[in-house]
Amino acid sequence: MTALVRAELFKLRTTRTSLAIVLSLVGLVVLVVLLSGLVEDAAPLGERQTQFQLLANGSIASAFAALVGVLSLTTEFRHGTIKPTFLAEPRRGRVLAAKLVACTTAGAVLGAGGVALSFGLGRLTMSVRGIPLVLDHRDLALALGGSVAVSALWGALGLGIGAVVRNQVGAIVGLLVWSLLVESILFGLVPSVGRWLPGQAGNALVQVEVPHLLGVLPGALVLLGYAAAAALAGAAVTVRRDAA
Amino acid sequence: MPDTDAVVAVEHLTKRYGSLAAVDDLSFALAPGTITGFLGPNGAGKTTTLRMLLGLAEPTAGSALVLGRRYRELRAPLTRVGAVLEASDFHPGRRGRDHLRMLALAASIPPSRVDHVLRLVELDAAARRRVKTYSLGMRQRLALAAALLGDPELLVLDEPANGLDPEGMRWLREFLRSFAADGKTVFVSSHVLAEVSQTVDRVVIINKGRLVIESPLEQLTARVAGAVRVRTAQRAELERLLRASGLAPAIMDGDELLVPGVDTRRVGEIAAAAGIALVELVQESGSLEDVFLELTAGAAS
Repeated sequence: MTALVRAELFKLRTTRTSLAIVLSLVGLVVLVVLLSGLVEDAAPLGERQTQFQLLANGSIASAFAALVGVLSLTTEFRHGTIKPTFLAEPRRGRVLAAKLVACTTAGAVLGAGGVALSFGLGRLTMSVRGIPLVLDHRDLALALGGSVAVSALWGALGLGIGAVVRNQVGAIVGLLVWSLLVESILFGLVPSVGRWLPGQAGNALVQVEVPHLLGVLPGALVLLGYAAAAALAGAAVTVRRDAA
Repeated sequence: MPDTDAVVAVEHLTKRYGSLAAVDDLSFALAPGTITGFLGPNGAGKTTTLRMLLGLAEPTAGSALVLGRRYRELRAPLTRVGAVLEASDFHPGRRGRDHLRMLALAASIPPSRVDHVLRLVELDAAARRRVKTYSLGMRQRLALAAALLGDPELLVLDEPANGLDPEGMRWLREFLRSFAADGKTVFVSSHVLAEVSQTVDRVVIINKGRLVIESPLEQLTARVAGAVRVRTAQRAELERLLRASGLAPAIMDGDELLVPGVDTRRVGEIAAAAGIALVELVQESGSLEDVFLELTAGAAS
């Protein structure tokens, strides 16, 4: 099993896709933190909610973690490498389990790195403008822990979605339409329902003082439920369907 | 009863996609130490059969065993079976050597094997380049290197000649010969008999998912030498008479029969004695390829 996990982590390291994902994340976090940190009025930046939002911006890493998860299987089907992968380990459940470990690990690393970057850069813009830090240690722990947890879980959720959909473009477009359109509209119109959706459940872990969101623990449990369900559905489908 | 000594044992194997039977009640077996050609026109069901053999696709009915087990039940399968499927099964952005290292990691094969097989297929110079820069022939070699990674006792190749130049083909022929000389088994598919006729000992010919013939190559060659093709409006009657004379005519397209192991004079005499008018009576002098085409065309009608 450890051999399979090492193989999956090796796959992530040996194409340029991972590098592109890391660079995109870094670029986006730098851009957003510098823009909001330097442009936002000083008054709201002195408040807990806005300050938390600025410093925890790196939790956008969860979107990139979802992408890593989606690509893990869909890339193998797209390029046909799923055949050598399943020839080397025909017990497909084990391959899926190894991918689950690799994708959640990669997600956690992205989540930690993203928040470390946004925190460092955000603090820098604040100190340049002489804005004091109002967040306490619990807030900072939530920003880091929330980002790591949400990104790790989205890695698993993406893997499950990719396994069920199998078509790479279809899975990515579906995920984008869902998060940017369906979820945000539903949450805006019917927050009592929308807050139970995976994106908003995750947001409960990386935002503070946002009305209607679930609490931190319920949010984490709901997202965990989605991730587990997606991973199990993906495994069931992958074990049954012909690979080629 | 499955043949437990067989390296490959296919029994009543069937694969349906909707109403289409890609493989239809196919049975054959391979003995150790042989090189068997798996032949048939494009779309005959060769690739589908190999996928079921390798556990990538599930049979609708029947079974396909490798080394006495289903592929999925083999422990450390890469050390038992090596497979070359399509030469495009690589991530284009990954280096050739990394493709092999990835498989070696997954299969717990010592990393030293990676460089060994790269030298074996003479790809070591290009090993650190990304696969997208490889020619088709180089991809075939990389796929072969991946198949050899675990030093398997059975090698399965699907259309390996695609994209190989004549020199590459000669190299592959010699390689497969030396592989089988060690007592190992080769199963190689092709839609062109001539590509493998210099390499294989036996042939399994299929068409439309069904077995056409399974025989040693010499027997197929013998058919070339001694077959008579005869055309008559009274085909059924002539067929019955030929069978009564101990011959085994095969029914071909139209009004034709192909009668192996006989000359034109004897067929002519049998027809004349019964007053059957012949339209055409020809001693087959065609190549092995003609026989192959005839066999597969015959089964199609």
